[in-house]
Formats: sequence, structure tokens, C-alpha cells
Amino acid sequence: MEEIRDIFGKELLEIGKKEKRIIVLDADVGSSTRSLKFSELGQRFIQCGIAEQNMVGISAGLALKGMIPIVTSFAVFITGRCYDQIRISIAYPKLNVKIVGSHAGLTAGPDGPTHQAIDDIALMRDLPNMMVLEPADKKEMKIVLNESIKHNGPVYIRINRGGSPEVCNIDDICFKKINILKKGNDVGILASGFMVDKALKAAKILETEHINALVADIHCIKPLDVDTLLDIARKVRFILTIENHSIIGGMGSAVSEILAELYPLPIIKVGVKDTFAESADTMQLFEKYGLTEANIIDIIKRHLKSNF
Amino acid sequence: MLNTEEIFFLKQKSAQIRKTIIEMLYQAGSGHTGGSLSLVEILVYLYFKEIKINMEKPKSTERNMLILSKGHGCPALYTVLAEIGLFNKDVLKTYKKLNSILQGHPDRLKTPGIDMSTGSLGQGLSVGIGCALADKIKGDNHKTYVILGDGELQEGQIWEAAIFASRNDLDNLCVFIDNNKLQLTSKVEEIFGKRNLSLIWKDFGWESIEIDGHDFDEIDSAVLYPTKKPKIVIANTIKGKGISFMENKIEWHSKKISEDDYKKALNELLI
Repeated sequence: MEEIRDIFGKELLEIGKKEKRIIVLDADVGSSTRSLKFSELGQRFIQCGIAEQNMVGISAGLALKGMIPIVTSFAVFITGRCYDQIRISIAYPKLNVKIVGSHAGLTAGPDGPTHQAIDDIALMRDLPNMMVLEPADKKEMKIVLNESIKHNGPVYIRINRGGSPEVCNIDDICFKKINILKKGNDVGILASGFMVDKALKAAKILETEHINALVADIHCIKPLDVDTLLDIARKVRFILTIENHSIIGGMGSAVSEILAELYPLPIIKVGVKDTFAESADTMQLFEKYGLTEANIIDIIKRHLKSNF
Repeated sequence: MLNTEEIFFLKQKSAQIRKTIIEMLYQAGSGHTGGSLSLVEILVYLYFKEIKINMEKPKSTERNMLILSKGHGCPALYTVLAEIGLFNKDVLKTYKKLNSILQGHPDRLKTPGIDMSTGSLGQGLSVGIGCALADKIKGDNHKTYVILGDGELQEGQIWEAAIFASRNDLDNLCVFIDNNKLQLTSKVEEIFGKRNLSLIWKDFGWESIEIDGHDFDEIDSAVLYPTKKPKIVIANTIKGKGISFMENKIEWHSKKISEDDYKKALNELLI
């Protein structure tokens, strides 16, 4: 099955054929991130070797000279390993670099906690000038990639490994806007990346039990679409966020920060609970760490019971 | 070769700039004095000979550029930029003060003529490589200069960059090491070890040239030396150069200049 990262590799090559300023940089994992496809374009693919900090610095220099560098590696290395380089050489001087991290969250599965980026959103979201994006499916991947290249400034895109079920209708995807996939008024389920599919499945099951859940896909975690978020908050009794990331500093935190100030209501954050995970198949990890439709349903039902 | 008049001119500019640096740091009440004074001749040479900034479009990168990787040396760079007219010399008085365009470390967005924001050591060489690489890809015939501190070589990223530059034949990259042999708390060799820098860089595939970093003829011939490799110029300098009581003194890395120090320093710099 074609994965979201395959679309990233293919689409990047297509965009690169037309937009000659695009330069793609890899740190010896291009076959996994799929950035290696860009090597078709010769010297505009730069193999930096296992030296991510240098790679990020080079991308800053390329951007200074008017190129549009796309730096790629696993999400865990491209953010954590290079945090200061991104902070000082990209975010602070506001350079037009696109940072792409694959194998986000628990989708790095068997490689274990050293390779599982459960804190990359937190790290990138706190940087001034940085936009943070996580597409939910292949259609959204295409739009997010094209639009972020048009945007002049630093962007972080996190991509999951593994198959991604289609969840978005292409006509409804509006860059940087929260995409409401299902209407409802009991609970608002806000999800990013692969969790959008689980949110939709949970909502369908809840419907059979007469619980009406709204489901929204948040592909732009920063800047957050505050208007739509407030619209959702006004319609529902409480919010549940679900993300393939730690519940500290991720999308759920971003949502909580805004709503605590502008429209306080109960918010339940589902994600990795302030712990390192472990090696296993991704689906087993989702199961053990609570990133499943069953867990969403269970939490929502318990919450509705306890409150009403 | 520089002629006698050129050397006289560059020396005069250097003396003027040393004086302005001392005035600026005295007024600011803090700043990196030693590592700014060691840089003066290198910066004066580069900005009066090699880097021509378009005053109308200082942000344009279609020219030779400089990445001051040892960002704490910026008082020297600000002074040179004021001297060539990028901003009024009065602005130097605002260095590090609220709302100033002159930050404690270089900020490319705030200060005209600053090509890159730096300050967290070890990052500028990679950025310079990116610039040089972009010029190669675009077929532009510009040069990128980078200035590293000798203490900065303790950062691991420098060596990632050293490997990359030679593998990619970046003959349009010229890197100076301001080899003033002192860092904040000790002699560099006490931490880095007594090493032959020239040999190390040669082994990494670079053209390595060792010079007196205060001698314009030597700077000139190092910069003009033809090579197909990226070039490292190990510029032996004196930290605190030009002020006798500051020269080679660890405490003058960033000591506050007192009124007494200020008067004594200006006396030495009378031109």
C-alpha cells in the first residue's frame, strides 16, 4: 500500500521539476524518508551523511542565497538532534527552510524510543517564526507540501510511517484551516495525522449509541485556526484531542492553551502519557498506549456518564 | 601584493576601528573586548577589499559574503560596517541597549550588512558551506568567507562541516580561524590539546595556510592563494591586540572596561 511518505517523495520530485530553487538535503536516510527520489535531479539533491546539525546549517546558507531547501530525516533526529541549529540558524533569522521529519511518533515502532519522535511538535511549536504541520492522509500531504513551499518562512512537516487511510475530501482541505470532517454536538474530537482515521471510526461507533461526535482534522498545529476552534468549542460539551505524540506540548496542548483563555471547557488529551514507549509493531504500540478508537469511545462514554 | 599606500590605508582604518571598539564597549559596560580586537585586521581587509555591499540593497546576497561564526566578535564587525557607511556611527552607542539594531550577537534581520545571525558557536561554517554550495549550483562566481574562533573548534558541528566541504570541492569557501589561543576560562590548548591545526585541516582535505592575522600582506596572499579546495586560513592573532594591558590576558575575554582602563587604552591608541 502506498504510504504518505511515498506521496511526499513523488510530489516533491514533481514540484522540484518546475521550481528550480528547491534543493533537497538528506542525512543518509533518504530511502526511508523517500527524499532519495529527488536524486533524479542531480546536484539539487545533497547527501550530507550522518551529520544532521551540519545539514541544517547548510540549508540555512542555501536559503540565504535564495534557494528553497527541504531538509529531511527522521522526525526524532531532524528536530531533537538539531534543535539549537534550527533555533539559531533557521527560526531566528527567519529563513525559508522546510524541515521534514518522517517516522513521527510511535510509527517508528520496532526501532524503539530512540527513534520515536513523541516530542517533535513540542520542540518545533515553541520556536518563534516556525509553522508546524501534520497531514492526515495522502491528499492532505500533497496540499500541505505545495502550500508550505509557497509560504516564505520556516516550516516543520511531520510525516508518519505506514499506510494512511483516506480521510479527507480534497475539496474540503483548506491550508492552515481546521477541517471539520463530521458534524456533532456532544463532543468535539480533534485529531492530527493518523489519529484522524481513528477519530472518524470512533465517531461512527458512538453514533450507533446515540452519541453525536464532531470530528475535525488539524493539519496546521501552528498557527492554530482559532476561529474554527472557537466555533467547534461553542457547539460541543467537551473536547477530546488525540495525537501520535506526547500529551505534553503537542496539538492537544496547543488547543488547550487557546481554549483555556478564550472559551474554557473540559479538554481531555489522548496521546503518549509523559513516558518513553518501547519497541513493537506500531499497531501494538497504538493499542498499549491508548491511541485507538476503542480508547476514544471508552473515554467519551465515561466522561458523558460522570458529568450528566 | 598590496602597495604601500593600501597598507597604510588599511592600518589607519584598523587603528580607527580599535579606538571605536573601545569607546563602544566602554559605553555599553560589557562586551567581548579581547576577541573583537584580535579580529580587526581580518575584517578590515575583507570589507575594504573583498566584500562590496550595495548600500541600497545590503540584504542582497548576490555578492561575496561573511558569516561571523564567532558571533561574540560582533563589536568589531559593527564598527567596520559603520565605517563603510551601513549605518551612522552614533548607532554604535546603542549596542546591546533596548530597541537597538545592534544586538549582543549578530542579527541579520535587525542590522544592515550582517549576513547571518550567529552566536551559538559551531554553526557558521555549515551556513557558509550552504552559501558556497548555492553559488556553485547557480553558477555564480561569488566567494563566502567564514570566521571561526579557535575555541569554537571544540564544537562537533565544525568537524561535520569540515568533512562535507572538502568532499564537495568548495573552492569558493575561505575560512579564517581567529587563532588567539585563549577562551573564556583558560588557554585553548588546555582544553583542545596542543595540536597542529594545519595538519588536521589538511587531513580533512582542505587547503591550509598559516599566517600572522595582523599582517595585511599575509592576509592578502592567503586570500588570493589559488586552490581547488576549500581554504582554511589559520590566522595567528593576539587576543586584545593593540592595548598592551589587554593583550593575551584571559580576563579580557569579556571584562567590563572601567573609566581608568578606558583612558589608558585611548592613550595607547592616540592616532
